[in-house]
Amino acid sequence: MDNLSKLVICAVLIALLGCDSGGADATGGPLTMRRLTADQYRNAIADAFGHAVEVSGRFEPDNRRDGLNAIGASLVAITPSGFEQYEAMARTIADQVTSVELRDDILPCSPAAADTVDDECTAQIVSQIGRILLRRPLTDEDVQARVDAAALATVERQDYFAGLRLALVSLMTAPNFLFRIEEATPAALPEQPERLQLTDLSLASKLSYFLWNRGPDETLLAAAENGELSNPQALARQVDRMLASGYLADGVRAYFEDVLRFDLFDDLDKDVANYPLFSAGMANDAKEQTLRYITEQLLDGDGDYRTLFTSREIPMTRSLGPIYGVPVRTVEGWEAAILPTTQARAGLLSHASFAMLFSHPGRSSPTLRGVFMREALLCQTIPEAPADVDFTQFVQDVAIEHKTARDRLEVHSTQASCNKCHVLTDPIGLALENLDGIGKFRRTENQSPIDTSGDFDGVGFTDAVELGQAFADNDLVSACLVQNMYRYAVGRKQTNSERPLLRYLESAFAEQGHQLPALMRNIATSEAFRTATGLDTATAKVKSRSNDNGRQETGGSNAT
Amino acid sequence: MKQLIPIALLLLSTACGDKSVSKVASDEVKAAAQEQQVRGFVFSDWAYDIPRADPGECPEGMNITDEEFFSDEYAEVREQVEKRWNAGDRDGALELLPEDACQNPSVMPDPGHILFEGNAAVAGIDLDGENSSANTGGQCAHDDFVSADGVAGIDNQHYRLMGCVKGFRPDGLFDRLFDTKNSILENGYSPLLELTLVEGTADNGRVEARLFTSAGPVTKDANNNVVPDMSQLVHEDTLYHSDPFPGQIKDGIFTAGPVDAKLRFKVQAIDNHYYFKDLQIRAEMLPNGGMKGVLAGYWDIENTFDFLTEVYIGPIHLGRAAANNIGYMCSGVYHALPRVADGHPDPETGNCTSMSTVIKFEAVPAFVIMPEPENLVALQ
Repeated sequence: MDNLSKLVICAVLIALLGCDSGGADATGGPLTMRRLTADQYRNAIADAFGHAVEVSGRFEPDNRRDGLNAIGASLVAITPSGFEQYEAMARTIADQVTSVELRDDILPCSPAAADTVDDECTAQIVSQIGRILLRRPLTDEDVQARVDAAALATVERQDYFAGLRLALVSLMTAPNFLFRIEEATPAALPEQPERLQLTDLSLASKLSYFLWNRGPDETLLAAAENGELSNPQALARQVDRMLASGYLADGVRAYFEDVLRFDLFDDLDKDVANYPLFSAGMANDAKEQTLRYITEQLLDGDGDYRTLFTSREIPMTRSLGPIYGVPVRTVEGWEAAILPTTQARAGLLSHASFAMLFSHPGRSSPTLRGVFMREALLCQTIPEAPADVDFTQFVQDVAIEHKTARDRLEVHSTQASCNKCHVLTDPIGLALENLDGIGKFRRTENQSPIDTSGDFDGVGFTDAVELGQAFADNDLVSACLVQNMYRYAVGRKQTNSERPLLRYLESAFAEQGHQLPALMRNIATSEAFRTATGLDTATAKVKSRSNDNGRQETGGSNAT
Repeated sequence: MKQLIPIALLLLSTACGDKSVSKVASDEVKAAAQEQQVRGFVFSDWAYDIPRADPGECPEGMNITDEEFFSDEYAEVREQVEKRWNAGDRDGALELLPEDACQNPSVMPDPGHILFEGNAAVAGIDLDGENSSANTGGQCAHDDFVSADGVAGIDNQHYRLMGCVKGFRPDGLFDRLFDTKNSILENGYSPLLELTLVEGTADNGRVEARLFTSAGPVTKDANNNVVPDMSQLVHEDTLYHSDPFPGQIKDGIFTAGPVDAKLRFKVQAIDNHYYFKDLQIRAEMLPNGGMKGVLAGYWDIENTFDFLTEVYIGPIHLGRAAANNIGYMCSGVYHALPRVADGHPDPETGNCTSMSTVIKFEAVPAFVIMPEPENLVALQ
C-alpha cells in the first residue's frame, strides 16, 4: 500500500471512527528563510577553508522571538551596515585564503602563473568552495559569472589572486550563503493541494543545521543530489549516521545555547565590589561548564533529560572551584567533579551560569531566575511588570526588616498587580537564593539565614536540590523541551496542524526514556520536518510579526 | 592514616589535563567529595611582628648601614659609581665600593650591631616553656618578652636582632612592605597548611597538621585579596613538605607543633626559603573559615643570614643595597646572630644555632592538592 492510499484510508477512518494518526504524519508549517548565526557562519568558513582561517568581525545582532534566536533568525534581514560587515569579513577571509602561507593548503589548484588569468583553476575553486558555502552544487551560470569577474580583476591588477579574492567574496556575500532559504515543490496530493515537499538539498541543509549546527557534509550533499532523501528509509539512514557523528555535540550545544539564552554572556558584567571573584574568564568557564555538562549527561551519560536537573556530577575548572567549593587538580582544562552534599545544590538549576546570567550586577534576583525557569524550561508566559511599579521599594538595602531577598520580595505581596506574577516566579526563584549573584554558595544574606523553601505548582520543596527533583518529575519540563526543540528545528512556532505532532513527540520522548537523540531523530524523520504548507516565506513573516508582541526576551529588565 | 585515604583516592582518581580527563566522575571521587575530614588553608598574609603600639626604646640609637659606616669612601666614589651603573656596567660600579660583607662577611671585623634591649609588646609563643633571663648566663641565655595581653615567656630573639633597625620600626620599610601583604600577594609561592581530623569534630578535636609550600602563587581577586576555596598545588620538591605534626582545635583556637619546616619564598629580589625548627602555630579560627595567628619557631641562623643577604636581580648581588635600605650592616648582623641565638645548641660547641622568631599570619580556606607521586622530587 502506498503512502497516498494510507492517507486516504486514514482520513476516512478519522472522519468515521475518530481514528487518530497520533500526529506523526502531520504536515509541516510555512517555509522559512533563516539568517546564519555567528557560529553557523564560522562553521561554514571552517568547513570551506579549514580551521587556520580566522573569522573576525561583528555580526548582526540576534533576534530572540518566542524564546529562541532560531525563530528570530527566520524574521531578520541584513541591514546595509550589517552587509558591510559581512563584506569586510569576507574580504579578510579571502585575503587569508589566498595568502602565500595558506593558499597551497586550502585551494584545490594553483594557477599556471600568478599574474595571469587561469579560468580553469578559478572554475574549479569556485565550484568546490561554492558547493560547500552555498550548500548545493553551483550551476554553470553561477560559476561562469564569478570566473568572468575574477578574470577581469586579474587582468586589471595583473594578479591572479586579486581576481580570485573577488570571486570568493562574491560567494561569501551571496544571499544563498548568508541565508538558509528553504525551497519546496508541490507534493501533488489532491487532498492537500497546499502541501509542499522540501527539495532534497533544502532538506539536507535543514537536517545538518538542526543536528550539527553546520552545513551538510559531502555524504549528505551527495545523497541529496542523488534524490535519496525523498526516500524515508534513506533519510532515516542519513539521520542515524548524523546522530552517531561527533558533530552531534555541536548541534546539541547550539540548541541549548539558544534556549538557555547564553547569548546574554556576551554582555554579562558584575560589580566587582560585590563579586571580586568574578572575571570574564570565569564567566566563559561557567558557560562552557553547563554546555559540557549537558552533552556529557545527554550524549555520554545515561541520557535521560530529567537527570540534568538532579545530577551532582559536573565538569570543573580551577577558576570555578572556589564557586562550587570543590578541589580541582587540573591547572588548565577540565576534570570531573562532584558537588559536595554539604551544599544544597545539584543539577542544571544550581549551575553558576544561571546564577550569573539571571542576577543583577550587584545582587541575585529570585524574580529573574523564576521568570527564566517559567519561560525557558516550562514554556510558560510571564507578563511584563506593570509600567507604574515603584521599584525603589524593592531594591536591596540592609534595613533590619529587608535583609534577605525573601524579605524584600514580600513587599510585592502587598500589591495585587505585582503579586499575580511574582507568586509564579518568586517561590522557585527563592529556592536558588543560596547561590549569590555569581553562583557561590551562601547560607546567609546580610547575616540573616536564607530560607529556600517553597512550593512549585503544588509540590513542596526545601531547597534547590528538591526543586531540581521537582523539575525532573514535572511532565511540563519534558513537554517544553519537545516544543522548543521542534521550534528550533523548523525555525518557527508550531502551527495548529502541528500540535498533534508535538503530542506524539512528547509521548515518544517519554516512552524512549527521555533520550535527546531519540527526540531529535523523531523530529528529523517526521513528515512535518520535510514538508510544508503552501504558505510562502513572506506571508509567514507577516503572520509571525502579527503574533509578535514586540517584547524584549532577555529575561526581563525590571524584575527584582 | 585512615583519614588520609579519601584524599589519596581523590588525588589518584582526578584527571590531569584536558585530553586525559574522565568525563564521568569515579566512585572514588564521589566518596572523597562526601568526606569533610581534611581541611586546607593557603596563607593570605605573612609578616614579622612589628609592635606598632609599643615598639620599645632603642636608647643607643638605631643601627647604621654600610653606606653610613663608610660614608667617606662612598662619597669619594659616588659619582663614578652612578656613572658606571647608569652606563650598564653594574659589576664595575659595585667594584668601586668597599668590600661587600654581605657576600663575604669575613672581609671586615664586627662593626657592632645594636640589639634591642628591654621589652616590647611583641606577639609570640613561649617556645621553651620557661620565663628565660639573660642573667642565667650561658650561650643560649636570653630575655623573654611579655606580650601586649600580659603573657610572659614570649620567645622572640628575632626582635632582639632587628628591633633597633630602622626598617623594622613602625612605619619603617618592612612595616610598610608587609602592610600591603605583598609577602604573599607578590610571592611566587605561599605556605599551605593541611589539617586532617584524627579525633573529635572539626570544631573541637585533634588533628594531624602538615605545612607545605605551594607550587605557584596565590590566586588574587579583583580587590587584590587571596581567593578562598581555591585549589593550591603543593610544590613538587619534598624539601618544602613538613612531616605531619600534632595539633588541636579547641574553643576556636588552633594550636599545633612542634615541627621543622622549610617554606620557600620568592618576593622581589629574594628567592630563598625559611628554615624553622620546632615551629609552633597558634591561631584563632575565623567565622569565614580561615584562621589568623602566629607561627613561632627557631630560625636557623645560617639560613637567616642567607635569607637576608642572598638578594639578587639577575646576576647582580644586591644584599648590601637591601641592607642599606633596611638599615643594618651585613657584617654586624653576621656577628650578632650567634649572640641572639637561643635554640638548638650545637652538641659539640654548645653554641646555639637558631633564633626564636615570630611570624604573624592569616590564612583562608583552600584545597591542598598533592603532586602526582611520580612528579615528586627531593633536592635536599
